[in-house]
Parts: sequence; C-alpha cells; structure tokens
Amino acid sequence: MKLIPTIGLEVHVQLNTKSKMFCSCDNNAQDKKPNTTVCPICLGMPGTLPTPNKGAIKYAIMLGKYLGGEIAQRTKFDRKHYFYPDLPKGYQISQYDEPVVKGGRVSVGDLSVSLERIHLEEDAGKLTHPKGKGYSLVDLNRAGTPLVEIVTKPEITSPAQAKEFLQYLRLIVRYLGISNGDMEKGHLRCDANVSVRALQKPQSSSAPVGELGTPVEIKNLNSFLMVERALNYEIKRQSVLLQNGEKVTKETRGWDDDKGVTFSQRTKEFAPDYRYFPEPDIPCLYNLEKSFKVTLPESMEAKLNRARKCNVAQNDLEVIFRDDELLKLFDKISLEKNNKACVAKAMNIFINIPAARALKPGFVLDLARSLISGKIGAHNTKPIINEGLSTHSSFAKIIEDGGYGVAIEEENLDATIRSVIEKNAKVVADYRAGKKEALQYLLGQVMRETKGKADPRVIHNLLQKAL
Amino acid sequence: MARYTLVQLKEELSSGKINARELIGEYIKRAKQSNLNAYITLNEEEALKEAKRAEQLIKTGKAHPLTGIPMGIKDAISTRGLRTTAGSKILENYIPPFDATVVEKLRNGGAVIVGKNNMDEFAMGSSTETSGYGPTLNPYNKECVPGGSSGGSAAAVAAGLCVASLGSDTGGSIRQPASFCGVVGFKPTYGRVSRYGLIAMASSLDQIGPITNNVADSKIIFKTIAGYDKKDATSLKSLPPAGKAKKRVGIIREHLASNALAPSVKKAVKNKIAEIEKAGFEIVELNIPLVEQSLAIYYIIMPVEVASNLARFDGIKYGVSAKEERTLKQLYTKTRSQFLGNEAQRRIILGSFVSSAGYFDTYYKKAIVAQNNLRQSFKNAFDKVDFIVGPTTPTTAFKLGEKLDPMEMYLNDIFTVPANIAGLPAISLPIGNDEGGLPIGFQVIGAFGEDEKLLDFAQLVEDIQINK
Repeated sequence: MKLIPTIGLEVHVQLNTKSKMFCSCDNNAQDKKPNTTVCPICLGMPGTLPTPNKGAIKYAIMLGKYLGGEIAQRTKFDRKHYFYPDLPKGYQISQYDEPVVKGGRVSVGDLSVSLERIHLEEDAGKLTHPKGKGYSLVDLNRAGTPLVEIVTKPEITSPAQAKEFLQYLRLIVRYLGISNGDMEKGHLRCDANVSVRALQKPQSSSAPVGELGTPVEIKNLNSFLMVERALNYEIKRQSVLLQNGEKVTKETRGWDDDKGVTFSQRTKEFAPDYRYFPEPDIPCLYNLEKSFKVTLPESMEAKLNRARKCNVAQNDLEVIFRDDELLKLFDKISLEKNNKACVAKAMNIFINIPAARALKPGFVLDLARSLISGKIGAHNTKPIINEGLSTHSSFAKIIEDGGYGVAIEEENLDATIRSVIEKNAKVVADYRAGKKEALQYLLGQVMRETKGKADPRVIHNLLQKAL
Repeated sequence: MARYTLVQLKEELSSGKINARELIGEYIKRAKQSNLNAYITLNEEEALKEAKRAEQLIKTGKAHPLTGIPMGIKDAISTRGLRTTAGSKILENYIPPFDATVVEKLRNGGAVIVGKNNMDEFAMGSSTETSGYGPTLNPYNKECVPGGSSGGSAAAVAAGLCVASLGSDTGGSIRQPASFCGVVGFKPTYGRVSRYGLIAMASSLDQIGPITNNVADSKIIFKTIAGYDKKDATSLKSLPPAGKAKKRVGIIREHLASNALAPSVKKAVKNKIAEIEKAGFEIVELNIPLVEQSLAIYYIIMPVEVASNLARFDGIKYGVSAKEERTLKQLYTKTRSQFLGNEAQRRIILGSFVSSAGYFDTYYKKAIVAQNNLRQSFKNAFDKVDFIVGPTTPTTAFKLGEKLDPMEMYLNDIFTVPANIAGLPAISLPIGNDEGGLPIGFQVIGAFGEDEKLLDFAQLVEDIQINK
C-alpha cells in the first residue's frame, strides 16, 4: 500500500533590524551578557507601551512582495496569551487574522509551495536550566526581537522537499538582507505539520483516501537536518499506525534529536486557548504599500541569468547563490561591462580562497585578468592574495615588487627541464622504477631554477612527457 | 483647612508672598497629619529638595509655569524612584525606573510631587475600597467613600493636601470621585494625553486627566500634560477641525429619566440646565438609546483588557512573589491568588471567560460592534449640539461598606462610562450639595478632540455657579 505524506511548515525568521520589534533596544544580543539588551518596554514593566518598528514592517512587506504575496490594505496586531517566564507581559504581540501578507509562493526548481500568510510578531526570551540546580534562569535579551512567521499551505510531499524549501527560503531572506538566517543561532526556526494518506483504497488500513489525514504538529525544529530527520521518523510512525489499522491522534509532538524520535507533548483536548484579541496599544495600520515604500532588489532569477552570461560555471553558481556574501561580491563586479570576461574567474577565486573576499574587488579582478592572459601562473594566486592582504598594496605594485611578473612560457622551459633531468640521474631512475614521488622532487628543482615564475602544472606535464 | 487654587498659588509664589519651601513643607505636614488615607506613599524628602530648587528658580526669575506647585499623582502613574503600587499588594515593593510621560512633563513644568494618591486596586472600583492599602475617606463626611478609582486624588485636592492631582479614568474614575468630593475632574479625549507610564487597566479606555479645585486649574494642568507622544502609539498626532459653535446643549433623555437618579441630584442638575438655558443656550433633548447598553459594552471590553494587562503580574520579574513555591504553576497561582484582590480576580476571570474560544465572537465582537454604533450615535449628536450635559453620578457619596454587591457598585458608572466607550472628553464640576451636605457633580461631555472648547464651556458653567 502506498501512503503519501503531506507537509505544511511554519517558519519563524528573526529579522536583523537594528532595534527590537516594539522598543529601541539593540536587536543584536549575540555574545551579550544576559539581560543587558533590555529596557522597561521589552521587560514588560507596568505602564510601558509598544511602538511598532517600521523597519520590521518594511522587511515583512519586502519578503511578501518578493514572494508574490498580497500586501494588506489594513493590518493589525493581536495579543496571544500564555504564561511562561520567558514571556514578560504574559502575552506575545503577534498577528491573528489580519497579517501583513496573504498568499505568495516559493518556487525552486521543480518545487513550488504556496503560502498561506506572512505575519509579524515578537520573539520570547530564553530559559536555561542549570543541571543539578533547583532553579532556572531567565534571559530576556531576545525578548522583543522581531520575527516574521511564514506559513505554507500543506503542499510539501517529502522531507527532502521540506529541507529544500527551507534552504531556499533561507537564501531568500539572506538575499533580501532581512535576516542573518543562521539556523544554529536560532535565526530560523521551524514547526512542521505532517499527515499521511493513501492514494488508493488500502486493504486493512485506516489510512484516509484522497483527503488529507490527521495532522500532527512537530515543534521546534532548529536545523535543516532536524527537519528532515523528524519528518522521516514521523511519516514512518504514522504510516505504521495506519497500516496496522490504527488511528493517528491529532496532537503536538516534540523531537528528541539524541534518540531520533518524536514524542507526544499535548493532545488536542489540552490545546491551549491563547485568547487572541486585538492589541489595544497599537492602532491598525492602513495602506501598507503606500505608507511603507519598499523597493525590491533585482530578483535572484535575473541575477542568475547575468551570471550565466558571464560564463560562471554551474558548480560555482550553486555555491554563489547559497551565500549572500558571494552574491554581494558578484553584484559589485558583474555590473561593470568591461569585467565580463574575468567575472567567472574572479568569482572562482572568491569561492576557493575565501580570504580574497576581504580584498578590493578590483584587486581580484586584476588578478583574474592576469591569470586568464597567462601573465601569472596559477600557483602564484595564493601568495599574491596573501601579500595583498598583508601589505594593502595595489595589484600592480605587488606583481612588480614580488617578481611574480610574466610567467615563463612553455617552450622556454624545455632547456631547464632537460638540465634538471641530466643532473638528477638517480632520481630519474627511481621514478622510472615506479617511485612516483620522485617526480615531485624534480618538479621542485625546476621551480627553483625558474625562481617560481613557471606554472607548476605546466612543469608537471612537461616532466611527465620528458620522462 | 485652606484650599488654594493653582492660579492663586502661582501668583502668591511669584509675588514672593509665599515661599516655595514653606509651602511644600506645609502641604507635606498636612498630608502627614491627615487621617483620610489619601496617599499611599509620601515623597517627603524629594519634595523638600525640589522645593528648595523651586525657591531658587523663583528668586532668580527662572520659574516654569508650575514651579513650586504641590501636586499629587494617582498611584497608577509611574514615578521614577518613587514607589508605584497601583493600589495593589502585588506591587507593594515596586519602584519604577522611569517616569510616565505626564510626570516628566509635570516635572519639567516645575511641579513638586507631594506623594502618590490612593486608589482602587488597578483602578478597579468606584469607592477606593478595593485598595490594598485601606480605603480613603471622603473629606465631607468620613463615613462616606470619596468615590473611585481616583478617590485618593479627589480627596487630597478637596482637603487641601495638594493643589491638584492627576487621576486616570477608564469608566468614570476621575469624574465620579471628583463629583463625590466636590472638585473638578476632567477626562480628556482618548489620545490627547500620553498613557506611557500609566499602569494599564483597560488600554483602549484609560485616559489620564487632572483633578483640581476649579476649571482654570484643570486647563493649566491639561495644557502641561497633553500632546502627541511617540512612546504611545495611540496618542493623537493631529486633531479633527473643531465644529462650529451651535449654541445648543444636549441632554440625554435616558439619563435624566433614569430610576437610579437620586432626587436631590436630579433637582440640582435640572436647575443647572435651566441656568445654562438662561445664559443663552438652546437645550435639545437627544435620543441615544444605545447609552443604556453602555455598561454592558463596558463590562465586556474592559475585563478582556484587564485580564490581558494584568497577566504580567506573575511573580517572576518584579513585585511580590510567592517564590517559595516548588513549581512554576504553584508560583503563578499562589502569587496571583494571594496578592491580587477580589475585584481584580473577579475581572480577570470575567475577562478570561469572555475572550476564550467560542465566547469571543459571542461577546467581545458584539460589544465592539455596539461600541462603534455608540460612537456613531454620539458623532451624530454632536452634529446637532456643542455639548451634552447631565449628572455625573446617580447619587452623592455613599457610605463605606454600603455597596457590597459588585453589580450595585458598577451602576455608579452608568453616566460616565459612555464617554470612555466613545473616547470623548468629559468633565465633572461641583454644582452644590445635597441635604446631607455632600457634593453633587455635573457632567459635560464634548465632541471628540474638542477638549479646549469643552473646558471653556465648563468654565462658563462654573461662573454661573459662582455668580449666583
């Protein structure tokens, strides 16, 4: 019997605005001491009031527009109530029935997932439970950090797709510059709804046919791998239940990453009543598109076309489009027409030698140009970059002073190679007897004779030929 | 005991007839000697220091409009470094690290804070009897309540324990105690005065305003504290253009015909209306049947917000905590059961019920629809009239412990609640006393945002009174 899963995701993305969602506190609590990036407002002190962060609203609109969602004519905030020590006000300011964005779609390759909504809310603080101590500690640095919650329709049909969706979504939020998107640091957190159903009438199984099965929510999946593993486990668990004629219970489950299992947290009858009601401290916002003028950057697709026109290799493309730093470098160098011929090479340098990203793009472009024309041997790439980083000199000056100059042409190497072979008869004999390492020694000798101006790969080939 | 008005004191201070240091010393002495229990916390040390500074400023001609003026502040309004309890035991040890915007403005204006006025717990009550710090007594008759929730403020002004005080009004909490204590209480248009720093009861209805000896004083305080505040997203950036004067004053038939209205109050109010007519205003009877639903609307919207606003008092971050408890749930339950009073707990339960799944649409959403309709009714009414007048309260001050049934207590707000629901400015001013010598209050409601126009008219009504 074939059972197919249906998955919907709720993804929380921390926005990298300067200040928090409802106060002017520093939004970057990375490596800060507990309870230092806080103020009376995000501590929920009596009498304080929230004022919405325009930057965060802008970011949500930007994401919504980029994903083709409908930007609300009118949006409002709501209070979601529950008691927990990391929630200072006893309620979270979120959005219930009038989100900033309705609809939208994330498309990557063959995968296309439509979105239910994107809304804004504030993050809670963090609790730690020191082992063996009779207390827990509350850190409210994160309390009030702006989040967008992206809710998909149940259109994902495999854990691999879920992972792909998330990876692509992370790429987009990084591309738009609205989040650092670091899952390990909790910038991206995910809840998954998963159900299983049959396509045809199964025998002795309680699996529903056609319509969606009973959904189970898995909370707090904090890495791509966790999402994939938890979903795989849960789909299997539900499938076994159904194949045995049992029923799936509608419930919320947690993921135990050590044991690799999901476990029941609460069933439907214990589902909390959050008593949502409109936040009376923040008036409704109207005409979002007009009041918040948001300009979208060039789409990733357009950028991809530009990269292809510059002959960036497919392998490199995949790396570049998963790294916002590389994307920014690509933008810097690819918009200049004259650079077109050496963009691909320069990007290749940025990918393979990450230290080069700290250099002026022009430096790397010059380097790429010289490599392509053969002015410089590939083996000198790294030394030149290192020198550029340590001396801050111009590319031209480094080439001149460092004697990296023009590379020795192939035909001019023959004489040197012949002389090295003659001088090292024993090593040559070893090589011919099968001692492959011997070639490295000979190569080194040639390099010494040519004072490093020849390309070692070329020497390697010539030596092989000569022997 | 001598009751100065703010205007009088300003003159005496600047002419040098009174010395700021002696003046503040005198008010502190009065407040300490008083047995009305109008203050929860006195600000003696700080106030005397401020007075010294005030004296210096006046001497050197650098005085601000309120320099050296002794003021009370309702204990729901945050004062930096000065304990702020909101009348609740749960905040018995809470000292705010910041000033409410209104306090900042008063301090900048030179006012000296004598102390924090007693109030019903979290402003929930109409008698100051729900205060965790004991009830305030009515200066006119110590067996009677001063009204509430700003009872401490009204009693302190009436008894000359401060020249003016700030109150807060969610369903009548400035106007009703002003009426009971024979002083002026003004609730501005919702959004005219920043709520930043006011410990919230029902955020969409709360508004801070002055309690003073006369309308002129209210004008001065209002001018000082009003204005847009970027810390309060609900504060008004701009005002609607003022309506043309129509020389017409409305009365609400449903209010004057109310069975709850005491004969002495009815008589005084009718006389006052006749005087207003004599002064050249046409009296128009308005038909606003929805006002009779005001309390029903109020007792749905208000508790929902109360339940939400009071959720932060959980014993974790500040205030009193039952931290000896073993589990989180026990800590929450014990802290909130032990340190929140009965009325607060009653409204939390009511609000939680009304906003729970399944009941939210039935109650809350309907109440919001009714609220919008009532707003519209008032808007239509103000197309016809400049002001709406009537009694502030059905009766004069009642005895302590007389109203034990919450429902009976809630009825006290029957005439004051509509202005909160519609966000309108409203003022209560004294118009005489009943047979027992207790003050009677007269309420004037203005159109949205027309606070200044309302205050001018209130002054006119006050003058009729004085000239009589």
